[in-house]
Amino acid sequence: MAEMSLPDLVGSILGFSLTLMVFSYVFGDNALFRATIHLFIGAAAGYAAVVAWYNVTWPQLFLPLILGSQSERLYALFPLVLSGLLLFKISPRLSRYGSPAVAYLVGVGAAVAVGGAVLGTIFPQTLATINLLDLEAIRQSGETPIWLLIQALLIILGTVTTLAYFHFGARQKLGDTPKRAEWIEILALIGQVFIAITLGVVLAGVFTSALTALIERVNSIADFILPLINGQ
Amino acid sequence: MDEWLSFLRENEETSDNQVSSGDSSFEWLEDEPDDESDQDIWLGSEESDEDLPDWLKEMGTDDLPPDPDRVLFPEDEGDQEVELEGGEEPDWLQKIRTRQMEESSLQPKTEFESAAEPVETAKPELEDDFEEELPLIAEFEQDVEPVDYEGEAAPEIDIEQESLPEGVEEELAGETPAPAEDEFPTWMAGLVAGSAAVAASSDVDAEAEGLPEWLSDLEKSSTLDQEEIVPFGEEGDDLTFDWLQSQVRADQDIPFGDMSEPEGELADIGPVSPFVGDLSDFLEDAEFSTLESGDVLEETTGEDLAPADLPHWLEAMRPIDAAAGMYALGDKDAPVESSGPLAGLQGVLPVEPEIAQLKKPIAYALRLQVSENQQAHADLFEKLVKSEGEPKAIDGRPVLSSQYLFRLIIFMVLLLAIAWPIFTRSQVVPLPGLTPEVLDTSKIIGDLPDNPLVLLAVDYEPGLFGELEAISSVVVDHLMLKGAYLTLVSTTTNGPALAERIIAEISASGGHSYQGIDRYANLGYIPGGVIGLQGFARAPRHVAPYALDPDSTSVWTRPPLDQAQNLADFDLVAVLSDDPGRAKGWIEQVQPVLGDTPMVVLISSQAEPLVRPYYQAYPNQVQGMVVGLAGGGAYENAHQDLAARSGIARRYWDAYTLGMLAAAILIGAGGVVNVIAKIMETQKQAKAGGKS
Repeated sequence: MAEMSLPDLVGSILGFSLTLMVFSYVFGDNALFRATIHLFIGAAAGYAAVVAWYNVTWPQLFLPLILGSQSERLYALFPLVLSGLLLFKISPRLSRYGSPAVAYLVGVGAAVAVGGAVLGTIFPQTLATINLLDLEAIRQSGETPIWLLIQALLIILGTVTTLAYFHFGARQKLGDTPKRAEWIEILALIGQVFIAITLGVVLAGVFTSALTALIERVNSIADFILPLINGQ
Repeated sequence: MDEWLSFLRENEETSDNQVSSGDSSFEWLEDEPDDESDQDIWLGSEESDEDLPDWLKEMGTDDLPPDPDRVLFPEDEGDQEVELEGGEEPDWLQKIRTRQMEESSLQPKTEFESAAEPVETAKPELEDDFEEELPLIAEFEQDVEPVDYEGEAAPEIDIEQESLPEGVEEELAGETPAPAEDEFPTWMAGLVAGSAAVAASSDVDAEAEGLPEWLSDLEKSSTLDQEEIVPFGEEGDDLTFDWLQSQVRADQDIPFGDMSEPEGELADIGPVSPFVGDLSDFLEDAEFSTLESGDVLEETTGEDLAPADLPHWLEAMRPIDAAAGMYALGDKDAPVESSGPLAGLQGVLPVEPEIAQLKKPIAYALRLQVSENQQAHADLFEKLVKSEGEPKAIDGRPVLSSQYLFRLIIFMVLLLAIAWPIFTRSQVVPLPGLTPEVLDTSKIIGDLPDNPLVLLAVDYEPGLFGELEAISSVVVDHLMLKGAYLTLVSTTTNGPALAERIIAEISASGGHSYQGIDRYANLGYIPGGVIGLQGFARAPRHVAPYALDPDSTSVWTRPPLDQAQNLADFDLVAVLSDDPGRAKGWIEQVQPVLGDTPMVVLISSQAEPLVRPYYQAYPNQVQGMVVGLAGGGAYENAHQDLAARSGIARRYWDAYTLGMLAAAILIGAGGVVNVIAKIMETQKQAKAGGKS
């Protein structure tokens, strides 16, 4: 403790106090918890604003306009105009003038997202699933071919049955409710098993992350208290 | 009959003979006087003037025929149209108009009329100022609605007149009383003329029946106009200036030839008096129930009246008296209007019967005609709406509910399971074994050249700092041992601060000297999400040109980043993320441009299910992966020297293990309790059912 600087000491006390205040939520919603949440949101928003100005707006927009060359100024003019249009979104009466900037953002964002999903996920993952049964690749992997083959079949089965579960096409017979085909129903049932396992894995992952966060906080409390107890 | 009237009649007969070849009685209108002699006759030539009496000659010179093209009221648009159309109207109409105006000027006025127009002799002088007074005259005449003799209505009157048989004209002349013209007021002149016209109305109607429909309409309109301008009563009294009265009267005076024309209309509508001109149109349709036409004739012809007795009392007599006795609309007991423009009229405004005798309104049922089913739905809807507005008492929450107790128990169990290893600094539980993804990651980093260029993306929120710190500490420490130049970047606003903390803590714990722009560059925040990532992947120097330091250093011009033109020039790209979406964004947007540069992801446990397929794919898009605290522990286990330096995963691992065990026990115990509770409830229900 003697070696801890004043800012570190203040930071430790503040962290310890805020952690306990957050833990107080276990006893129900209370003012301490809400105050901590408000403090966190305010600090995060303030910090985000500082970063946006210090890291983006000033060096990448205003600095080129002020000190940049002619081409840099022209290059910065485009985001400046769009940013100005976005400011109209503050006023409900003038918000329509910000629509072009929003439309540009949405259009470009959708194009980038779709392009990335197609080229970065759908095509590679489809190809990877197909290649699971590539015997030459299995042989070159050096692992037991049978085990790899079983693993590949399970992955393919899980993929196909999960996709079948999300197949909602159905035929309607006269006087009967719409129903999927029998073989699709069977595949969907198997797919449900894989989906349940996946959800279980996701839940376990979320719980694990939360537990690790709790451990980190308890460890921080211990790091604050133990030196005080031990006199270190 | 005077000679001048005989002469005019001969001329009319002559003109009638000229068109008598046709069947229609008005075909003579199609012919024009084709020689000047005819014109002379119409215009009153010198020969004809010789036959006129002297007084008529004087009047003829005074009353010059008006110019047919003359525009009396230039401000009146209707008259302007007449003038403009006058040049285009048929010749026969112009002829009629000219003839009518000539007749009006040639008609010898009786002494009666002369007496009624005392300012007639001053007219030539007034005409000099006539142009100046036009606006006033126009305004006035709009009020009194005079007959426009220069308009289209006048010729039809003449047509009617010319169509009259000779006997009618003689009757008119004969029945016209010989009044004491010098004692009659102006409005009385019209009264007398109207009376004479009524007598000839039957014959006129007979003649009018032979006319086409359009001509009859014009005739009616002209008749109404004449009725309106009959000078009497208040309208005549409103004339302020004598000269104006004379002017208006000159315009309103009906020549003798015209006086027979309105009688046809008057005969049609029954008893008529000179006051008809003031009545509204609706009165013309009203029922005249009390008087017969014969009575009117007796009263209005005035043959029995001694003209000498008229002037004094007639001057003082108001039209109210006459009208009150003549008009009785509907109810005889109806009140007589005593003031206003309807003064003297009886039952014109039957206000009292309209209000006082109102019938009781029909009572309509307000109840909707709905079925029982609809009523039931409406009642249900009403209850729902009403219940929304009613305050509901909140049930008092028990201080110690089952949920509250469970929450306390779970928290206390987990806290004890975690706190005990932490506070005791227990490290008895062995670290997890090396997994393929961790092995791949360690191998990739181990194979990096000395002082490699490493791009480290710090894309996670502070809430999961503990987990990511446990993962990244050992990996980043490994990179620092390799002497890597770390280029930090983030797509979250909190990322730059977290990156600085990671570098500072690991540098301190590992004994590294990662301080300043020479060892690492924090490029800061990349805005735009996946758009920013795409831009950064294509042009990193433009998207993130400056370091996040007080000097905003342009790091891309300094070594070692000056060697990197794009991301493929980096030796390794490592992504620290707690969100599968952000990790997927880096894989989808950045990985395709990396070429041979490997990408490893250091992710939270909650992101693993969605990121692992990119690692296990063949060919894989992610070459190495470290997941959660277990991955960090496995990495430390693989590098004991690194675990001894940082050891965060090691410190957490016992608490993590016990916490997971406690959580598993709680979940299992909770499930068992639920099953037991359900079984017991079922048994109770079965027992209850058996007893019942």
